[in-house]
Amino acid sequence: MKQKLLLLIFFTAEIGSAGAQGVLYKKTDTVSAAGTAAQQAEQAAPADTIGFVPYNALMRNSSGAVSLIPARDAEISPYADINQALIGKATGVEVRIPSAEPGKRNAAFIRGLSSLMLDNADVMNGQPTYVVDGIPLILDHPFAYDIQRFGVNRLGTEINLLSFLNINDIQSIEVLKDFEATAKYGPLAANGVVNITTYGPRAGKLRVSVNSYVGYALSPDISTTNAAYERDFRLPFYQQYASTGQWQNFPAYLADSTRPEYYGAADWDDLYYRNAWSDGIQAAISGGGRLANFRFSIGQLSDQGVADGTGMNRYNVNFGINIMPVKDLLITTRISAATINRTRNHFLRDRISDEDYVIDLETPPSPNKAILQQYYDYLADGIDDNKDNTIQVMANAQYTFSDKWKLNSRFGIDYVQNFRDLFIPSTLGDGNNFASNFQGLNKRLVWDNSLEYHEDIRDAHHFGVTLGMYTQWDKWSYNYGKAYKGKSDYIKVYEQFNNSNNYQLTANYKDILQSNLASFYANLDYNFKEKYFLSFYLREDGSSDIPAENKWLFSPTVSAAWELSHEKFLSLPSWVNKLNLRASWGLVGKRLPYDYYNAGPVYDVNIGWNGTPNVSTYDAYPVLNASYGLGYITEGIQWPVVEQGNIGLQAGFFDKRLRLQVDFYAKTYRDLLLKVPVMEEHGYTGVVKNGMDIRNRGYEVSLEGDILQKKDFQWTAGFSAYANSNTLMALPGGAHDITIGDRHLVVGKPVDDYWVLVNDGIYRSDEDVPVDPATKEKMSYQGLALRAGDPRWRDLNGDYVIDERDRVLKGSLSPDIAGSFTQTFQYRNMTLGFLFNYAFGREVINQALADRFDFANREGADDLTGVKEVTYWQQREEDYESIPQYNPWSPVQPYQANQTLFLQDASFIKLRTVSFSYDFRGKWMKKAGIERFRLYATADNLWTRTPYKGGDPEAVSYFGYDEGDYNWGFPKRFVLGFNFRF
Amino acid sequence: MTMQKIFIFFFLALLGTGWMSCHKMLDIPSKRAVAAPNMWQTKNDAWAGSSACYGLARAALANENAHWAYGELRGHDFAVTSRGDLNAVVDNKLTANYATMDEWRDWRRFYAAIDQCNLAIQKLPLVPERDYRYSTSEMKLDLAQVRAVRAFLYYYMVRIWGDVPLVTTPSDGSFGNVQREDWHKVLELAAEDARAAFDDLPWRYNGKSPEAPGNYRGQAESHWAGIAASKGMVLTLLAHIYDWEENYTEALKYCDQLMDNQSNTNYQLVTTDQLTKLNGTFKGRLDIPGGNIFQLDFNMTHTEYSTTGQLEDWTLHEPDIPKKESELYVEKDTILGIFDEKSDQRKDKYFINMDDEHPEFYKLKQVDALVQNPPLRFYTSAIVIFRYEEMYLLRAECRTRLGMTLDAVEDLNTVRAKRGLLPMNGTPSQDELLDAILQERRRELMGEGWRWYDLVHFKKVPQYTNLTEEAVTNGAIYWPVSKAALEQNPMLTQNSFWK
Repeated sequence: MKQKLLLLIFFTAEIGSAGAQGVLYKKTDTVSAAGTAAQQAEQAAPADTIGFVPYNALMRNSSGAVSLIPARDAEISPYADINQALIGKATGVEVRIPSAEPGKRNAAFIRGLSSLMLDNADVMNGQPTYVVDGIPLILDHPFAYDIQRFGVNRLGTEINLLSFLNINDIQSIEVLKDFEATAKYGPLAANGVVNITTYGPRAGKLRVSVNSYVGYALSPDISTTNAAYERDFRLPFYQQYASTGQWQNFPAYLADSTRPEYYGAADWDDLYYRNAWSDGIQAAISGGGRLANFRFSIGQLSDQGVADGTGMNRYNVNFGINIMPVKDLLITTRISAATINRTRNHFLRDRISDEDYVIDLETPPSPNKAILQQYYDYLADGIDDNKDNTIQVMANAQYTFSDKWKLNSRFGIDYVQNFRDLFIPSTLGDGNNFASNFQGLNKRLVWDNSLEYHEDIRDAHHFGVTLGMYTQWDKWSYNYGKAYKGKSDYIKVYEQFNNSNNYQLTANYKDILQSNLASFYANLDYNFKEKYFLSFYLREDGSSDIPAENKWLFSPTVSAAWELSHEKFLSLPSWVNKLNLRASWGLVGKRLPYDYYNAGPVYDVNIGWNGTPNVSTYDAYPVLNASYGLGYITEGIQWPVVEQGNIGLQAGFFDKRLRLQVDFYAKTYRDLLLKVPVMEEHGYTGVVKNGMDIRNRGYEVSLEGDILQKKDFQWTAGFSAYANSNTLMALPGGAHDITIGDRHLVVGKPVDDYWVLVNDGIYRSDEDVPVDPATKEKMSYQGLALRAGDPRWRDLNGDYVIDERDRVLKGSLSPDIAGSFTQTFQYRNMTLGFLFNYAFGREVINQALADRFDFANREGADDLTGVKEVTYWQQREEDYESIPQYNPWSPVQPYQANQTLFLQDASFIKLRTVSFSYDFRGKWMKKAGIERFRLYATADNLWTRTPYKGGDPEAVSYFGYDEGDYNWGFPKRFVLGFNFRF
Repeated sequence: MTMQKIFIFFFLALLGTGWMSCHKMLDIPSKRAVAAPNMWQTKNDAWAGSSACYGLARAALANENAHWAYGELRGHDFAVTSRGDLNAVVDNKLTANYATMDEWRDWRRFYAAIDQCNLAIQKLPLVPERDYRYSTSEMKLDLAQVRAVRAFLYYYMVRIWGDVPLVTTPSDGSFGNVQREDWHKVLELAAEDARAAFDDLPWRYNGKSPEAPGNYRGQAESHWAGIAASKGMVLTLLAHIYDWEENYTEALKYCDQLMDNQSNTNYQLVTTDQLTKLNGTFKGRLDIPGGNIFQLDFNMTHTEYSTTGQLEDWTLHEPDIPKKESELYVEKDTILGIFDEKSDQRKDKYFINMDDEHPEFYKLKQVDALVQNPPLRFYTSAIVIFRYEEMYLLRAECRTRLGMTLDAVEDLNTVRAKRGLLPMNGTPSQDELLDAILQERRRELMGEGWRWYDLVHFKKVPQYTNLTEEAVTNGAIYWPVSKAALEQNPMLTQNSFWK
C-alpha cells in the first residue's frame, strides 16, 4: 500500500507497521539496532517521499503505551530542547517551563507526579529518564540547594541538559509510558522514559545533509508606567486605612513627584526587550562500506531571549562509527560533545540569591531607560560566565554467533561539567563587590551485558530469552567558592580554597554524592503466530542508596498482547484493518534521591539558622550534630516501588485512514520516602521513613484520520486527550494528613491541591464581624480579632476562629484534561500544518497579583519579598476590580496568596505552531544528486485563549504560583529554514 | 562451536565477577553525612559533637533575632519603624500570622540543641576508650560544658514558655510524646546539671587549673574566655535559676560565691567606653580581662558571621550598614525618661542621632573592620548572655529582697559609679530600692535581651506594656507554643492565655 503518512503530527499511530512484531525483538538492543536500522531506514526512504522516515519494525524496540514524535516534526519546528518538542505531541506528558529564558532548565512529568511537589528538589527528582541511543542521561542533582539560603536557582549554571542534542541529529523521540515499553530500564523507568534515537552511521555513498534556520521572536507588547501609576494604586489604601505612622512610611520614591528617576519617562522597555534572533545550522556527512561506515555532524545554535539580554549558544559535534572487524561482530561507537553558553537574566532577585546577600531594597530600580542602561553598563564590568560542557561516549559490541544467539555488551559515559564564574562589581552591591566560582561535575558510567537467544518453532511459536546484567555508577560533585568585598574591582576572578589577599570574606564548599545501581535481568518473550504475545521481565536491582538488609529488590513485569485483526474466527468487518489489544502490569523500584539513607540515623553539619544556613563551626571548631535539619533517618529504609497496570488498544479502520490508540492506566508509587513532621521535643524537623503512596490514574486517547486522500491533496486531522488524576493513598505510619509548609496532604485527596482560605468579601465595619455567642468574642484570625477592612473568610468549622482548619484543598496546576488538535493539509509539494494544544481544569495562584496588593508587607522588606525589578513599572491586564480593598496593614495578612481570591482558572487553548513547508521534487533533483530539499516556515505561539488574566497561563512556577515578571511566557516566533540532503 | 562456548564462558564469567563486584559498588558510605555508628569514635568526633551543642544553642538564639524578640521587644523600650511582625511582638499579639512569628513561637531549635547535649552526655564517656588521644579528663571537661549548655537552655526556655517538656535522653527513634513539666522541676534539673558541671569546669581556660591543664584544645585563654562554659558561668547561671524561682537565699549564695572568687574568675567591671566601643564587650574575645561571663560567639576570622541573628540588623542604619532606616529605635522621650541623670555616660554612648525622628540605638555596633568602608551587612557581635555588671545588679536585688539594704545599695552604687552616676544616698525602702535596681538594669542592660524578663520578674508588666494584670495572671507573660509543636505532640497544651 502506498501510504503517504502526513505527519506533522504527534502521535504514535504507527499502526501500519507490525507493532506487535516489535514485541519479540524489543529487547534487541536499541543501540546495536541504531546503526543498522537507521541505515536501512534511510536507504529505504525513497527520494520522492516527503521525508518521513518509515519506522522500521526493528527500530520499534518497544510497543506498549508509546508516543512517537517523528523527526520531521522536530526538523521543521526547531527547538533548543527536548521537552519543548514534546508539548502537544506526546500524550500523558505535562511540560512545565516556568520561564522562557533560553537554555534554562525545565521539567516534564509523564503520567502525573511521582512525589509531592514541595520544592525544587522534588521537581528534579521527579523527572523522566532521557535515554539517548541506549545511554540514560545523567541530569543535575538538587543537592547544591542544600547550601543555599535563597534557592531561586540551583547553584551552578542552571543550563538545561536536554539542550545538548541537536534536533537535526535526532531521528525520533519516543515517550515510553507503560511497563511493556519501559520494563527494560528497571528503576530508571520509575518516572517514565523519553527514548531518543539519533541518526547513526550508515553504509552507502557519501551523503551530506545541511539544515539551517533563522528565527525571529517578537518582543512583548506592554505599556509602561512610572511612579504616578503606583502612587494612584496605593493612595486609596492609605486614605482609607493608614495611620500616621504608616503615612510617614509612605515610600520616598512615590512621595516626591519631582524626582525624574521615578516620575520621569518610563521607557525602560526599549532597552529591556528586543525582537530576538535565533539561528541554527547543522551539517552531517555519512557513508562508508558495509564493514565500516560512519556519520559525522557538527552544529551550532544560538537563541536570543526577548527580555533582559538573555540568550544561549550551543556548539556540538557528533561522531559515530560502525565497524565489523570480524564476521558477526558489530562494533558501534558514538561520541558526542557539546558546549553551551547561557547568558542569564539580570534580575535583582536572582542576583541576591546568587550572592546570598540582600542588598538595600528601599529604592527600587527606576523606570528610566538611561538608568537601566547604567545598570547594564555596570554589569558589563562584571563577569557572568555560565557554561556547560558535555561528552557522551557510547560503545557497543554485538556478537551474533549463530542465528539464535547474540551477545551484546555496551559501555557508556555521560560526563557533564558546569562552570560558572560570577563577578558583581562594587557599583552594584552597595559599594561592595562579589565573586564566586562554581565547578560542578555529573558523571555516569553504564555497562550493560546481555545474552539473547531466540527460537522459532514451525513458524508458529517464537521464543526469545535475554539474560543480562546492568551496572551504573553515578557521581555528582561540585566545588563552590564565594567571596565578598574584594579590595579591587580589577581582580574579577575568585579561586576557591586559595587565600588571596584581595578577598578576605570567603566561603568555600565542596560536596560529593554517589549512587550506584546494579541489576540482573531476565526477559522471556513468546508469541504465537503473531497473534498472541506474552512477555515477562524479571529483575533484581541493587542500589547503593538502600541499607544492606534491603539492598536488593526483585521486580517482575508481565505484558501480553492480542492481535485481534489476525484472528479469523472473529470475522471482523473488512473496514477493521488492525485491532490490537494489550495489557501490562508490573513493578519496578524507584531510586532514592540521596545517598545517606543507607545507614539509619546520621550526623551532619547543620547549625545554621534562617538567613545564615551555612555555618559549620562554633568558635572555629568544626561541628557534627545529629541530623535535626535533615530529619531522623529511620533504620531499614526500603526501595520505593512503582506499580503500574496498563490496558491499551490500537486500531486502524478504513484502510487505516482512521487510526486510534487508547490507553488506560493506574500507576501507584508505593513506599515513597517522606520526612514526616514529628514531635519537636527531640529537635528533629521530621522523621524520614517509607510509607507514602501516590496513585496516578488516567487515560490517553489519540485519534487521527486522513479525511481526504486525493492524488494532489491530502487532509489529515488529529486529536488527542489525556487525563490524569493523582491521589494520596497513604502516609507513613498510617497518618491521615500532614501539613508541610503551605501544603496540606490528606489521604484520599490529590497531592498537589492548593490549601486556601475561602473568601466571602470584606468586613466594612467592626460591627460586621460576627461574635461567638458562647464566648462573646469576635471572630478572629488565629486569635487576632478581625476588624473593619479585614477579609471575610469563611469559618468552615464554625468555631469563630479562622485558622488552618478553615482552609480547603482546591485546584491544582495539573490539568484535569489536556491534549492537542492538529490539522495537516498537503497540496502537491506544499504542506500546511496547525498544532493546537489545550489544558482544562488547571488552576494557578496569582501570586503576582496578591503581591501587588500586599505592598504594605513587602515595601522595602529585607528579604526577597522586598525585591522590585525594573519590570515592576508596567501596567497589567489584571482584573483589579474583583479584589476588595482590604486593610493592607492588618496583621491578619489580608492579601496572603493562598486564598480563593487569588486562585484562578488557568485553562487554555493555544495555537502552538503553524508550519508551512515546501518539498522540492522532480527529476532535476535526482540528476543533481539531491535527495531532499525542503523549505519551511514556522510560527510559534500565535494565539492563546484563556480565562486567566495574569498573562501567559503556562508561565508559572513549577508549583502553580504565578510569579509575575519572573515567569516569562514564550514569545511569538517566526522561523524560516531549510533541510537539504544530497 | 568452540567460539560460541568461549563466548558463553566469557559471559558467565562476566556475570560472576559482576555479582562479586556489585556488592562492593553498592556499599559506599555517604560523604555528606556520617552514619550514627561511625560517630563518637575519635577525639575529633568528641570535639565536633560537643561544639555542636554550643552551635545549636547559638542557632536557637540567633534565628530571626529570637534572643531579642523574646527578651527585649515585649518590654516596650524599643519602638518599631514599620515591620508588622515586630510591631505585633511589641503589642503582644503573639498569635499574629507572620513567618517570623512562627519561628519565635516554635521551640524546636532549642530542643535540637538539648537533644545534641543529651547525645553528647550519653556518648562522650565512651570516646576515651575508643581513642587514646582523648583523655578522660578532657572528656570530663567537654561533658561538663555540655551539661552547662543544657542547663542554660532549660533556664532560657522556662523564661519564655514556662512549663516545658523535660527531655534528658537523646532520641532513640521512637518519638514517644512527652508532657510539659512543671517549670520548677525543669529548673531543678538545670540546677543539678549546673552543679555537676561546676566540679569539672575550670575557673579560667588559662591552662593553670587542674580541670583544664595546658591549653584547652591547643588554644590560648583568649580563645575561650567568656565562650566556653566555666565555673563562673555555672555559678552565674545557678544564681539566675534561683532568682527566677524567687529563692533569693540560694541565689545570693551563688552570687557571693562568684564574686568572692574574683581572683579566680578575673572578671572585671568594664568602663562605659569598653562596653560600647567596637571590639569591646560585644566582640567579647578581645576584651580581656573583661566582664563577659557567657556569650554565644561569632568567630569572624572563621567566617562565623551572619546576615541576621544580631540586634545590629534591627537597630543600625546608614552609614554603618547599608540600610536607610533601622527596624527598631528608641523614642527620644523614652531615652530622656530612662537616662534622667545628667552624669550618665551611657546616654551618649548608647544613642546617636538624637534629634532624628528615629534616634539610633548605638550600643551594639560590632561592625567588624572587615566589613566596613563601604559596609557589608555581616554581623559578628557575640550574643552576650551574662556579664559581670549584671551580677552586681542581681546581687543587689537578692540582697534587697533579703532585707540587706545597705549591702544592696553598695552593689548598686558599684555599677552606678562605673557609669558616672552619683551614689544612691540615704536608706531607701525595699520597694524604692527594687525600683532603682530595675531602673538601673534597664539602663545598663538595654538591648541585651533582659528587659522583658525583668518586667516579669519584678512584676511590672502592666506598668510598662499593654498587658493587664489579669492577662499577666492568665499567663500572658509566656509565649504561645507553636502550632507545629502542638500538632505533633498531643500531650502538649497551649499556654492558658493563648488558648
